[in-house]
Amino acid sequence: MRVVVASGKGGTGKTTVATSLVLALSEPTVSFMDCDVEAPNGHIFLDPAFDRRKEVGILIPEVDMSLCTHCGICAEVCQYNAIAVIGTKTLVFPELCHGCGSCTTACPEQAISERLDVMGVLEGGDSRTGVMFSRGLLDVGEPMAVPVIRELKKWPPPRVVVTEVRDAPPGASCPVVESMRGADFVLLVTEPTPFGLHDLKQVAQVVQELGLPAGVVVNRDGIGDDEVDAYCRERGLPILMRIPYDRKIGEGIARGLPLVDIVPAYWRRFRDLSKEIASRVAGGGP
Amino acid sequence: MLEERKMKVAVSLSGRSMDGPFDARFGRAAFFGLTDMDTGEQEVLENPAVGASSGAGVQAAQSVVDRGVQVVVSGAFGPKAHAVLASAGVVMYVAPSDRPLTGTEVLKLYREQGLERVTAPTHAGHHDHPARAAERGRR
Repeated sequence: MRVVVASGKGGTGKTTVATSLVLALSEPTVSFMDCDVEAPNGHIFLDPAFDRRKEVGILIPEVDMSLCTHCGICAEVCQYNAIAVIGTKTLVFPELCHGCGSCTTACPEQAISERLDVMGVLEGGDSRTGVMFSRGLLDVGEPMAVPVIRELKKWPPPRVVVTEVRDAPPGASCPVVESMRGADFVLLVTEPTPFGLHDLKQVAQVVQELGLPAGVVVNRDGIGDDEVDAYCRERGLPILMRIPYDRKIGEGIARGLPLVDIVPAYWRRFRDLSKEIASRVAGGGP
Repeated sequence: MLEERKMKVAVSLSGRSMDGPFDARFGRAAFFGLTDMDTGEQEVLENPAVGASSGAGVQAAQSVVDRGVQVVVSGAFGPKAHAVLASAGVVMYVAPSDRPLTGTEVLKLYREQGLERVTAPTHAGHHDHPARAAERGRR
C-alpha cells in the first residue's frame, strides 16, 4: 500500500502526519519516502542513519559533430526547444532539457549519445525505529524537482515494502503530481483557514484528475472557520482525523519531536488511521 | 554564397503588420516583420515560440534564421537567443522601448543607423541559476 501525504498549502502538517503514521506502524516492511526534495525535513523526526547514496539527474544529449549532418530533426522533435540547428552548428541548451530522450531516438545518424546531468542525490538508511527511510535532495539552483522524485521512487529499497508513506512537497504542480503518481491513497492535510481551503481545493483537483481515493486530516482544528468541513462534505471527501490546535504540540514539533511522542494517545490514533486507509484502498471506492 | 548578398531584416512585432506596434520582447513577440532590404519586399512571420513553455528565445531565433534573416531588431536578447543568433552570424540591434513605435518606424531607425548594436546578451536567462550555469559550463 502506497500512501501519499499532500496538502497544497505549506506548513499545514504534512511531515507531522506522515512521520507519525510511519512511527505508529514501525515495522521493518514500512518505508518512508521524503519527496519534498527542495526542503526535505522528515529526517528530523525519524532520525535515520544514512548508509546508501546515489547521484541522480537526467540524461542530456551530447552531439558527435563528426556524425551530425545538421538535418535539424533533433531540434524539431524537442518539445522544450533545448536544441537549435544553425547551418553547420548544432547547439544544445542543457538547462532547457527535460531528459526525455526524443532527440537521441529520432537522430537518423545516431550522432547523439546521452550523459547523466546530476541534479541531486538520493539518501537512504533505516530510521531509529527500524523503518526504511529514503529521501531526495535537489541541488541548490536546480530548477526541476521532478527528475529527482522520479528516481527516488524507482530506487530499489533494501527490503520488501508492505507500506510506503510518501511525504509530498507543498503546492499542486508537477512535483506533487509526480509524488502521487502510482500511489493507492492520498491523505490531504489541511488547516481550517481560507488559505488551507484554497490550496486544499487545488490539490484535491489534482487527486481527482489522477483518479485516486483520498481522505482529509484537519490539523490545528478549532482555529479559522467551518469552510473546510463544508467543502469536504460537499465533495464527499472523508475527514479521517482531526488534530486540535494545541500549543503543546507546536512546541514539541519545534523541538523536533514527532507528534506521537508529544501526545502518546496518537500512537493508537495513527494505527487506526492506517487501518482506515487500508480498508478504503481495499474497498476500491473513494 | 549568393544568398549572403540578400539582406533580410526581422523586426519583432505584437501585431500582424509592420504598421502595428513594435514588440520589445524577442522570444515572446507574436510576429516578426521581415523586410528584404534589396527588393523592399515584406512578409510577416508568425513566431512559433510565442506560447512555448520553455526555450522561446531558442525557437524564435531558429525560426528567423531558417527564414534567412541576417539582421534582427528587438528590444532585448537573452543569452540563449543571443547564442543561436550569433552562431548564425545574425547581427542584433535594440530599438528603444521607452516610447511606442511601429514596426515601420523601427525599420526607418535601422536604415538611418539610429539603433544600438548588441554584441552580448542584454539580460540573464529565465531558466538558469547563475551558479548552476557556471557549473554546467565547467562540465
